[in-house]
Amino acid sequence: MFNLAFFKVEGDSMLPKIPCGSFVLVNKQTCNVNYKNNSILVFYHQIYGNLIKKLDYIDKSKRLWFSGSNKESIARNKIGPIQTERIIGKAILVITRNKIFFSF
Amino acid sequence: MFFKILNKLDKFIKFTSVNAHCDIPCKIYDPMIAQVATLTIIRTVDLINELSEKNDLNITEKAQFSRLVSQKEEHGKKVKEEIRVIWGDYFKEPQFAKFPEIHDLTHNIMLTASKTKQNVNKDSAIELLNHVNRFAEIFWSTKDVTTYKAKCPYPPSLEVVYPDLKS
Repeated sequence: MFNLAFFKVEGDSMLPKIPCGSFVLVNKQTCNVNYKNNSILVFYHQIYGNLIKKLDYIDKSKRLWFSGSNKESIARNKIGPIQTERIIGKAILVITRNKIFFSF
Repeated sequence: MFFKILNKLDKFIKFTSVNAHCDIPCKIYDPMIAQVATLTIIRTVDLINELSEKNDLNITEKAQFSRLVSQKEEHGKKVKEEIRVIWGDYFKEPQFAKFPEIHDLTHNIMLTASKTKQNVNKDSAIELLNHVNRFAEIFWSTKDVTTYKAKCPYPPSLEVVYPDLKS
């Protein structure tokens, strides 16, 4: 059920929750998972590589749309729709320099 | 403490990184780079045409031909990149509403720049300059900066749109 891996976060687009240099524990189990809006997911983007972003919504074609947590993040329409095959996993635990919290 | 452990572990096993990617809002945009790149394309087309009038090229001229073609290609890419960044990053809804032609114009610049890369054709290169000049006019209008046209003081001596920053 769980296939866990740590990832290191580079960049500031998930501020203030996830500062640059934080670690996230990601559940890489992606089969039969119903992602909820506002979940923090890790996925592969053809231009930007591995990204961590907040899920905004899933459209009728089952494609996922993301944005960052602050206004400097690349915009949702610039990230574009992401197919479920590109999802690496869901962040379940965030470890920053000062705190640890679960992400649901 | 958990963070410190992971940080130390990361130095040895290197966790895969994920990007919380940002666009740095430096706000430095200027169509002049695209305009100069377009003039360079026109100039290289002129020089290639001059070489083509010769029957036989010596080794130096062959090397020059090769450099000219490569420069034309490189500056074609530069025009596309510069215009794409201004259109994609600088222009926002208020500018789009004021200048709805910007989408078609940008698309035409992409197509015409490709045409100048594919061929040695001065007409296409001049057409590209007209498009890029119009793009520059619109760009400066969005900043309430008036523009004027003047011949660039170097070959190919064609009219270019400049911002009148003293007005």
